[in-house]
Amino acid sequence: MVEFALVVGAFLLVTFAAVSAAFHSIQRAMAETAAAAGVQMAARGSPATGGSKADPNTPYLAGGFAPTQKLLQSVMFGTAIDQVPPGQQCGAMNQISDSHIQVCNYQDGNLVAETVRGHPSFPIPWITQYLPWSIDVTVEMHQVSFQA
Amino acid sequence: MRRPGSGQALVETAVTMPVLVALFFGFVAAGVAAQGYVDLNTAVYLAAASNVTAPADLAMDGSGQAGMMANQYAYDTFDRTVAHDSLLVGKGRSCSGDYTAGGQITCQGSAVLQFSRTPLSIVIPFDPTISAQASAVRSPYRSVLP
Repeated sequence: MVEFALVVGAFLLVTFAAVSAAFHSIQRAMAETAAAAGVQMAARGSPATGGSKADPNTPYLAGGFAPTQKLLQSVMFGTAIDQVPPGQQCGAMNQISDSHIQVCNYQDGNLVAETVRGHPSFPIPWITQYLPWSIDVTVEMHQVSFQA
Repeated sequence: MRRPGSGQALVETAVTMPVLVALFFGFVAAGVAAQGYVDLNTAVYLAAASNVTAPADLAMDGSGQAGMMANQYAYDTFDRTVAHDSLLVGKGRSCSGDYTAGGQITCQGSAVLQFSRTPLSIVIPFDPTISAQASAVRSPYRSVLP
């Protein structure tokens, strides 16, 4: 009986660890994909928006959030996806509260960068205090240029 | 007098524990490697995407060398993206193909996956080199000389 209890306990622990690691890997891989999708939009020229003219030589930093958010939503259960004002970098990891992910687009010289950073929620909420897994992904892409 | 079977549990534990520990580190290493591959694939994919957004003119850079500016776009993108990754150290990148409007280019990139910067260095004492490849097609309707 004691052996059985130990084996079942060990089995559950290993299973839980494996599922947790797999879940985190899926979330991080999706964050990478989402950032790549967003930065491609952000690196393009700005379209005409209310009050401002289209400018093909100005990166559309505000446009990077929507495609990123759509992709992240599918795996970020119970996590708020926050848009940082275009042009600003994300806050430091310890300044981002639990269950929040920040998405920020900014220029880095001739390149446009997008960062996805924060602490996603976990299926079992209380476990996050013991598994402080976080996501911090940054990708960059050269600003799209247009010939005159 | 020793009872029959005493110490059996200890032997069984001694046999199974190394297997369990090896399995545990193996799963973690596989996860880290997968993460590295995803990151490198993204960097190469974005590099190819950057390459085809550069002007299609062969001599835009003044040197007359095909794709020099386009390749610089791609290399900048690859280098900066990999630089943000704490697991990867860029080792090399190259792009080649048809740099004219509508042409297809292929980019390749490689990086060293730094297990040595993780606790996994205890069981994986080397840093493997991984590589990735991506292709993209330049739009035939833009970036063409007027």
